[in-house]
Amino acid sequence: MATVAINLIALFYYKYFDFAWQIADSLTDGSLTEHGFAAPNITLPIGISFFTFQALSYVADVYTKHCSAERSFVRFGMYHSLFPQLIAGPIVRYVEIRDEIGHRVLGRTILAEGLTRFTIGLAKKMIIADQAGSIADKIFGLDTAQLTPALAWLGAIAYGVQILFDFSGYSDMAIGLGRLLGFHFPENFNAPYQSRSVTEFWRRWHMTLSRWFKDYVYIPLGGNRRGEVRTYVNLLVVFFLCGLWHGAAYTFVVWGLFHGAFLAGERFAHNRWGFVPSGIAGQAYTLFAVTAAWVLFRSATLDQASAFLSQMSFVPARAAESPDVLTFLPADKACYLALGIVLAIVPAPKSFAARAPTGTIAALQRAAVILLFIYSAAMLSEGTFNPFIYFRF
Amino acid sequence: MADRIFISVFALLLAAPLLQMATRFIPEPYIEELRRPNSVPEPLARLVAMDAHLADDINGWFNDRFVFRSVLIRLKNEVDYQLFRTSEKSISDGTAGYSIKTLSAIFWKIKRTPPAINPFWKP
Repeated sequence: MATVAINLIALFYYKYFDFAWQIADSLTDGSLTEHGFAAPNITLPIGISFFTFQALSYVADVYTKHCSAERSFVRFGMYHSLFPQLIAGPIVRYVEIRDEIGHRVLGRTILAEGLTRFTIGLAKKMIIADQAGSIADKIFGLDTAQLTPALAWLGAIAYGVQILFDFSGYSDMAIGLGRLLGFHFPENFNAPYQSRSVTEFWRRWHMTLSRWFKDYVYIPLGGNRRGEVRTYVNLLVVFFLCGLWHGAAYTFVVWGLFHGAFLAGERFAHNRWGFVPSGIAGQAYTLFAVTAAWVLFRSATLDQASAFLSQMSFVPARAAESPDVLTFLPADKACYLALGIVLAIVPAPKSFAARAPTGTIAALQRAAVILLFIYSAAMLSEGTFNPFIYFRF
Repeated sequence: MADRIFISVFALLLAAPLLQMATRFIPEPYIEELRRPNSVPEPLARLVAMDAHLADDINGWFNDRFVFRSVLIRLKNEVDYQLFRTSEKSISDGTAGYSIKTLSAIFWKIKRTPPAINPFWKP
């Protein structure tokens, strides 16, 4: 318990103290500020949520005897500070890389795999995420009175594309770097926008975080073994914490609860009527729900999110002059955004995914990877680079 | 064999900046920038003072000076122009960014008309 508390105290101090202070100040009608107690303005250590959760998984696994305690400080230090995935995941459990810390196998094929995976991740980030992100940034930077339904939807969709390719790109880079060092990190994404339900979405999105919450929060709370109502409550608790994990703000909390409500609703529909969303309609419903939720995630305040969601619901509230939606879609950004949408929602042909390419196809694939690397470096150099979104969590 | 060639190309790509720093074996084109480059930060004093912006400033300083920077910027702008007939950086309002027209005029000896200015894409 002491080790859990030590980790959580550090996380609370660096990440949530400011937020707790603001809540306390608002609950006391600003009396803290009036009496000269200013918010401490703490600098957040990069990736603190990730390495704290990784440390907690180690403590819990040792406590529950899923793995034995590591006696070597150096080996444990290597696990806890392994740089490829230290700051933005995947969240790796100790048992997954324990053997590889002491004995790693490297070879030309593994190196080639690692380089390819890293480059694909870099290209996802530079070519798609940042281009879509520049559209989202411009639209979310508008005055809410300027929003129209088309603009609000474009901003939400662009952000949905940005966050998928940003975060899955970073995960690919981390996994690729891990391969180059001889490690096998767990996968973090599995085409989440092709999910047929929000429940399935969470089996495909940030899989190592979902696994963490399932193993260390949901199941210890009783999971689905303590009755129907308790299951719904557990889901809401897990997603409340999941939202809070992503950021210390009301928007993240509401985002988490929004997802929790959808999961509880889907479970209710399944329990009562045996209904499970499926097919194209299921994918459309999931994309609709997830895109609406991203508005909560991206907005600076709940008021801004409310304005976006109102416009997305076609509630007329225009007062100011609104810019034309096409001004946010210059040719290059529109092309990269469209590419991102297609890659995200259209499944790859099964024959393409199942067979490893050989001969000329393999050579062309390798050449494409090298060109992607050079072009991504060019985009990085050009200065349109944004920081990785997940670094701030 | 294919893996060996692939890895060798990557090794060359990663080693090239070091070689370039040491020998300047590829002449790097001049780029007209309509802004002042980031100045050299004072790491020690600011480290002692726990300056939270030190890392950003070191990053900015490095980003203005790494080798092949101008080559890569030229490549990106040229690809954009050839593919899309547009470039975000070509509509500089004079406060920041690069001029594609200037780049092309200097390095490619081609005069091109910049695309119409879109007020929402100021760099």
